[in-house]
Amino acid sequence: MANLFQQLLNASFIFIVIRVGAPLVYASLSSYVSSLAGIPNIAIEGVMNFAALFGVYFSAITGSAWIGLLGAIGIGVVCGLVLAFFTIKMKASPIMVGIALNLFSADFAIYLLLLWTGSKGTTASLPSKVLPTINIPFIEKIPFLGSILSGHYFLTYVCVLITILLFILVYKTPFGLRMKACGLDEHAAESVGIKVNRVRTIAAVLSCVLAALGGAYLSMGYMSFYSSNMIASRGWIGIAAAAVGGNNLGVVILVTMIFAVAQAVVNVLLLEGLPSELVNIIPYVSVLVILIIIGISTKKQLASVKTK
Amino acid sequence: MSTNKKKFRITDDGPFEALRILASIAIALAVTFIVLAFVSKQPVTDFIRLLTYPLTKPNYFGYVIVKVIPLTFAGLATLLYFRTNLFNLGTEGVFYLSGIVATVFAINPVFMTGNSFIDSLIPIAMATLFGAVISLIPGIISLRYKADEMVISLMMNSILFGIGYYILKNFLAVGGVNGTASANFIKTAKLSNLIPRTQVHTGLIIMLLAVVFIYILLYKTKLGYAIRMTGINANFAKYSGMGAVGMFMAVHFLAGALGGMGASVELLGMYQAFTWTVLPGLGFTGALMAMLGKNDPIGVLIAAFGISYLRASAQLLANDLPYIDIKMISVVEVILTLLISSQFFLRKWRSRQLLKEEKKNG
Repeated sequence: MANLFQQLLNASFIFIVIRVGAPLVYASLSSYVSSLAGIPNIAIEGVMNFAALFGVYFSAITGSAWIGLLGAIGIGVVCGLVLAFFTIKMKASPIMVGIALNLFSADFAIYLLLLWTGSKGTTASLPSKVLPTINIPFIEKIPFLGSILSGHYFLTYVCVLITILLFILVYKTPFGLRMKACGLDEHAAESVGIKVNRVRTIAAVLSCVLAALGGAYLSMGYMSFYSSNMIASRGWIGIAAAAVGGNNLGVVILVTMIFAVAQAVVNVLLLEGLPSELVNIIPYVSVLVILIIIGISTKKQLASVKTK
Repeated sequence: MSTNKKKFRITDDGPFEALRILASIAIALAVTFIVLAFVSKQPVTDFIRLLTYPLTKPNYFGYVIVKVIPLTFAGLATLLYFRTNLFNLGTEGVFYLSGIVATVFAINPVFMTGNSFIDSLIPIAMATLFGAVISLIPGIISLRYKADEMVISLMMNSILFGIGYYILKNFLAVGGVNGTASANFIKTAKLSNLIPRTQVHTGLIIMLLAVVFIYILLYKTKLGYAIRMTGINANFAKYSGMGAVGMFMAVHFLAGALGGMGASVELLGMYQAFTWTVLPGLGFTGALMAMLGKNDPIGVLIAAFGISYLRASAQLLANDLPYIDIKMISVVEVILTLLISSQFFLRKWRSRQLLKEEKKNG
């Protein structure tokens, strides 16, 4: 047990948290952007799944990991447009569109896998490429910090960059304000001249591209191939984190980090030889626990407001 | 204007809805044909085979029927959630773990009497009860802590699967193919064959009873009225004194019971032993059935039949044709769902027709 605590408190554990946290952050940001603009995207899991598969496929047929990444982003754009078209133009419920896309992605990805590789398991037989790992000069030489911050995948650094950019977009630009307005009340937003449909379409596409980056991270970095079920509810965990954080991006990131720690603990415990089936449910249990804690604290707040 | 002389008009609500569904089906099948054209050298022949294959032999059609059973159970469970505006997709987790419970009873001679009716009844009853109770957990969490029902139900799916798989591997598995199959079910516990020379088992009768039960519940009982009113206008239902908490729990309980029953019926009807190593995917498929069936028990049965027909056909053809697979039918499913849930699908066409008629009548 003492050994275990030692493992949880050293640099390599923090390294693992960042490693397993990046796809969760992509998923949370994806859900955050779409709910902020009032077009709930629950297809994140499905978009990640498609992007993971297509990233691998495009990189395998072109021989370039970068074209693979572009392909994954392209799939994200297409999914975003489908979501926007059916919810905005066709007035379908975004929940039903999300359910349909998730189901389609889960099943059709397996069909494509079968067509491309002849098996329903993985793309291990395809000569796919992975995105590079980046060592940051100077920082990698700093003793403790270097081993935490350097040596991550390309998309991990992109994730940090995007998070910062998103903070600026949401809190410092007019467009961020417009997105919030569309999420709060579309009629009020419309009355002050905001083109609600356009803002929401952009938000939907942005959301799906973020999800796609999360998917590409998993199959072109975290792993070097695609396997069915590899997303493992990460998209849904992102949705849970965004739901807890609400409109506050800082809280969303914080909650995502808690889930990332839970996921990292799983990785460490699996090495200890504990039963994997039970260890694997830790992240999902942690989501439920956080939801319950948030529920209790909002109740207390409400109660204290009432007694005043 | 007398109403009984009214002419049949395609733009009326009923016929228009039928037209919308038919148009959706036509588009979905057309896209399936396009997919086939990409993968097959003889798309026309294959397309016709896909549409007619289950009709060629009785046991093929029987295969369609047995596939309807789990889809209908999942659809009925999800229908109850959707009717009360709850987007709960937890049926597959309940299905998995209830299946484990049914297995515990169906492989153990202690619980067997030798009478095949009672012996099947025990595992089914226990799985049904277990599914019902376990479904109360997401209900309680979402009610007490105001958390998102869909997220909770999906987390529960992964948790229930983890627990179920752990039990399977450590307590039920017998040495064999890969250590993930339980011992064989005892003969008398299995559901008996209903139609000779097909796989159709007595679970079909249980499923039909479940459809009738949900139909009566929805349209003939007080609880059903409360459920329907909540779906139409939650505030109206609440303020007119329909017990919200009781109904909320009853919906979870019943939906879970249907999930548990579906799992045990599927296992005892179709399998020799518990061999599931992944979630069956019935949460999303159940949502699809409920949506396509317009949240109506009979509608769910029809939707389940339609989807099962194509799925069974694709799965049977997959033996001969490597480029056809059951997963291919997801094309049909996604297009149907997107188009039928689109309120504006064909709306422009309808208003143009109405305008034309107005002009003609002056």
